[in-house]
Amino acid sequence: MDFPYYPINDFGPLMKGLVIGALGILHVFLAQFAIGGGMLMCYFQWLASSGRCAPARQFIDGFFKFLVLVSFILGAITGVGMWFTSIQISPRTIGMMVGDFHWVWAVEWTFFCLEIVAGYCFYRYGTRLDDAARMTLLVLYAVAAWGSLFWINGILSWQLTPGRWLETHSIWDGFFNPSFWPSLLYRTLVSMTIAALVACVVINAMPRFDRERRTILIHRAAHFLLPMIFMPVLGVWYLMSWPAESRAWVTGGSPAMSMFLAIGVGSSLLVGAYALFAIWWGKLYINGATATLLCALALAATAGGEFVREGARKPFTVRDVLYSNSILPGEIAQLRQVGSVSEDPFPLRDAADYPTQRLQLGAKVFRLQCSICHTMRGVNGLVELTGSWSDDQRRLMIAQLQRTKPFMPPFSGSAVELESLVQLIAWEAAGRPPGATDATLDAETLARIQNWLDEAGTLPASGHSQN
Amino acid sequence: MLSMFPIGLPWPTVMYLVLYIVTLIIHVVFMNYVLAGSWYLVSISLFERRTADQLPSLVAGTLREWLPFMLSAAITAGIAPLLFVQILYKRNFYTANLLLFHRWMAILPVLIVAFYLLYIWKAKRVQAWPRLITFPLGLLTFSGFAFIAWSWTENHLLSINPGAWAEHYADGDMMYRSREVLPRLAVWFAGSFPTLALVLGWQLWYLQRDVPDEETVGRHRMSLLALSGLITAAIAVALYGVALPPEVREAVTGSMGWPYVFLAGCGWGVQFASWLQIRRSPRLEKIWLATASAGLLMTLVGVAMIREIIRWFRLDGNALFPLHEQSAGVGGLPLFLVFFVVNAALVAYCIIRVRRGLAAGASAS
Ligand code: HEC
Ligand code: HEM
Repeated sequence: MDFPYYPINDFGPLMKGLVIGALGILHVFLAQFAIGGGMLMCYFQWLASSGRCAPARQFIDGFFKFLVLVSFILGAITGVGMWFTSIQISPRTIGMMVGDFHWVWAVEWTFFCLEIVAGYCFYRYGTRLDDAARMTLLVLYAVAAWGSLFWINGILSWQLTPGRWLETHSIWDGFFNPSFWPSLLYRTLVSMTIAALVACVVINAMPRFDRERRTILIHRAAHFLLPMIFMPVLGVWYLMSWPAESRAWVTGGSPAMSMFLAIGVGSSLLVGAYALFAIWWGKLYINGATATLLCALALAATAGGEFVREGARKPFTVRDVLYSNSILPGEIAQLRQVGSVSEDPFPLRDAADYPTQRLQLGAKVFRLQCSICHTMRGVNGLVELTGSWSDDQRRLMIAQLQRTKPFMPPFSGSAVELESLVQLIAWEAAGRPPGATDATLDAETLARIQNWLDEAGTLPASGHSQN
Repeated sequence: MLSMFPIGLPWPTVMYLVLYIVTLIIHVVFMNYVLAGSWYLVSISLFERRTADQLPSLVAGTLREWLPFMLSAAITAGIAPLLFVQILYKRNFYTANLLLFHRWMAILPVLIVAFYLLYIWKAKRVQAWPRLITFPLGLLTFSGFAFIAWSWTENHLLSINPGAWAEHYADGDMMYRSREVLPRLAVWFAGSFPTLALVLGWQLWYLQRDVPDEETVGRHRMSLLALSGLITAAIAVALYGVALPPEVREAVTGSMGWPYVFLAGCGWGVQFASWLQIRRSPRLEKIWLATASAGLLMTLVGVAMIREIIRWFRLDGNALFPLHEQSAGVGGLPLFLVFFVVNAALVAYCIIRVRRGLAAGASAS
C-alpha cells in the first residue's frame, strides 16, 4: 500500500484546529465584508444616481477606499493564507479537494481576477466617471465577489454533506450537495449584515459628514440589516441539511460545539434585535462605538459559526470519505495488519526523549493518528483525559475508539502499535520516568487487544463510509 | 527521456503543465515588477532630489502609483499556478511546505506588511520625509519581497529533493541549505529588472504619447535598468549552471532542453539589442518596446521550461502520470473554459469602459 505519509508538525499545546480556526474566521469575515460591501455600494450608487440620497456618492468613494485597503489586501492575503494553512493542517484533505474540484477552483479564480480589476478601476478612476460607468464597475465588482462565494461554497459544503456524490462521484452532485443552497443563502445574508455594520463604523469615522448626513446614510445602510429576519429560517434549514450525528453533536452532544453554536446564534440574535428595534422602528442614530460593538458581535457570530462548521465534520474532514487524521476508511483494515507507521519515512524529532523503542513507536502512532485532535498534555490532552484509567481501560477505549466517542475515527494500527501507544500514555502520565526499559510484550494482552479491535470493526460510529 | 520536453508525456500531464507554465509566467511578470520595483524604491529614496513642493519625476511617480496594484496582480496571478502545482506535484509541494513550517507561513505576515508599506509609499507626505527615514523604509519594503522570493525558491528546491526530507524533518530545521539556493535566487532577482524596465517603459510610453521627443523621460533610465539586469542575469545563470549537479545540467543542455536554452538565449539577445536601440533613440519607441517584449516572452517561456526540466529530471514521472490522469478524469473543464472567456471579456470591458468614461469626462470639462 502506498500510504501518503507527510511530515507532521507539532503545534505545541495549541492544537492545529485552533490555528486554522483563527485565520479562517478572519478570512471569512473579511471576505464576507467584501461581498456585502460590493452589494451595498451598488445600492448606494443607485441611491445617488436616482437622486434619493445626496451624500451617497461621497460616501461610496470614501467607503470604497476603505474596502480596498482592508479587503483587497487582508482579504486576498488571508485567502492565500487559507491555502497555506489547509496544507499545514491536512495536506491529504486539501489534496483531495483540489483533485476533485480544481476546475471549480479555477472558475472561482476567474471571478477573483474580475473582482480585482473591476475594484481597482473603480478605486482609481471612480471619482472621474459618470454614474452609468460607476454603476457598471460596481455591479461587475459585486457580481464577481459574490460569484467567488458561490463557487467556493460548493466545495466547502461538499466536505460536510457530500450527498449523492458518494455514489456518483459526479462533480455536480458534489457541488450542488444538500447543504449548498442553505449555506449559500445564509452566507449571503451574513455578508449583507457585516457590510452594513462596517458601513456604520465608516460613516461615523468620516470627518466630512455632519450629523444630519450621517443619520441619512446610516438609515440607508441599515436597510441591509433587514434581510436578517430570514436568518433563523435559513439557519434551521442549513442545520436540517446536515447529517443527523453532526446535528446532534452541535446541539448538545459536545459541550464545546454547543457552546460555539450558542455564541454564533446568540451574537446574531443580539445584532438582529438591535437592528430591528433600534434602527428600523426607533429610527435611532447609531454612533461609532455602538457600530463597532455590533461589528464585534458579528465577528463573534462568524467565529462561532466557523468553529461549528469545522467541528461538525468530525471524525471526518470529508464526510464518509476521509478521516480527520488523513486516513481513508478503506485503508484501515490493512493498516491494522501491517501497522500504521511501519512505513512512515519521517523519524521522530525528539526520539532521544523516549528511552525505549516501544515508546518511540507509540509516539509515532500518536503523531499519525491522534495528534490532529489531541495533544499529550495540553488542549484535549490524552494524559488528562485518561488520567484515572487503568492500562486495560485505556486498551479497550482506544481499541474501540469510535465507540468511545462517535466523533473519533476507528483505531487504524496493529495491536502492537496500540499497546505501544498505551504504554506511552502511561509513561507520560507517570511524569516521563527516565529508567524505563522495553519489556517483552505479553501475548495474551495483544490477543485481547486484537479481539477488541475486531469487535469494534473498521466502520465509523455512524456505520457507513466510502472506501 | 530523450525527446524534447514535454513531448511523449501523457496528455493530462501536458495539459496541466501548459496551464501551470502559462499562469506561472503571468505571475512572474507582475512579481518581477514588484521585486525590482521595490529595489528601485530604495535607490529613489537615496538619490531622488526634490523639495516637498516639487512634483515627483514621472518615473518615480508612476512606479509608486502602480506598485500596489502590481502586487495585487502578482498575488492574484499566483493563485492559478498554486492550484496547478498541487495537481502536478502534490506530494512534493505539500511536503516542502510542511518541512519549512513557520518559516514558510511567515510569508503571510511579511506580505501584509510589505503590501501596506507600498501604500504608504504613495503618500506625498511620506515621500517628503528625510532620507534618514525613507531609506530604511525602502530597505524594509524591499527586504520583505526579497524574503518572499527567497522562500519560494527554497521551498521549490526542497520540494524537488525528496532525498533530503527525512533528515530535514528530524533536524527540525526551518531553512533548507543547498548550494543551489543563492545562485537560483540571483537569477530571479537579476532577471526581474528587464521585466520592470519593459512594463514601466510601456507605461511611460503611454503617458508620454503626446509629449515632444526632447521632453520625454525614461529612455535612459529604463535601458540602463534592463541592460544591467540582462548582464547580471547572464552571470547568475552561469553561476547557477555551475551549482547544478552535472547530470541535471546535462539534461538541460541535452536533447530534452537545448531548444529552450536556445529560445531563452535568443530572447536575451533580442532584448539586449532592443534596449541598445532604445538607448540610442530620441524617446521610448513603440517598435523597440515591442521587440523587447517579444524577446522577454521568449526568455520567460524558455526559462520556465528549463525550470520544469530541472524539476522533472529529479522526480519519478511514472509515479505522477496516474495521478494526473485521475485528476483529469473529474468534470468541470468546459465550465472553466467558458468562464475564463466570459470573465476575461468582462475584464477587458472594465478597462474599455473606464477609458471611454475618462475620455468623455475630459471632453466635457
Ligand atoms: C477527529 C478528532 C479526534 C481524533 C483523530 C482522535 N480523537 Fe480522541 N477525542 C476527540 C474528542 C473531540 C474527544 C472529546 C474530548 C472531551 O470530551 O473533552 C476525544 C476524547 C478521547 C478520549 C477520552 C474519552 C472519554 O471517554 O473521556 C480518549 C481516551 C481519546 N480521545 C483517545 C484518542 C486516541 C488514542 C486517538 C488516536 C488513536 C484519538 N483519540 C484520536 C477527538 C479525536
Ligand atoms: C511579491 C511577492 C512574491 C514574490 C516576490 C514571489 C516570487 C516567486 C519566485 C522567485 C518564484 C520562483 C521560485 C523558484 O522557481 O525558485 C515564485 C514561484 C511561485 N509563486 Fe510567487 N512570489 C510572490 C507571491 C506569490 C503569491 C502570493 C503566490 C500565491 C498566491 C505565489 C505563487 C507562486 C507559485 C505557485 C510559484 C511556483 C512554485 C513552484 O512551482 O514550486 N507567489 N514566486
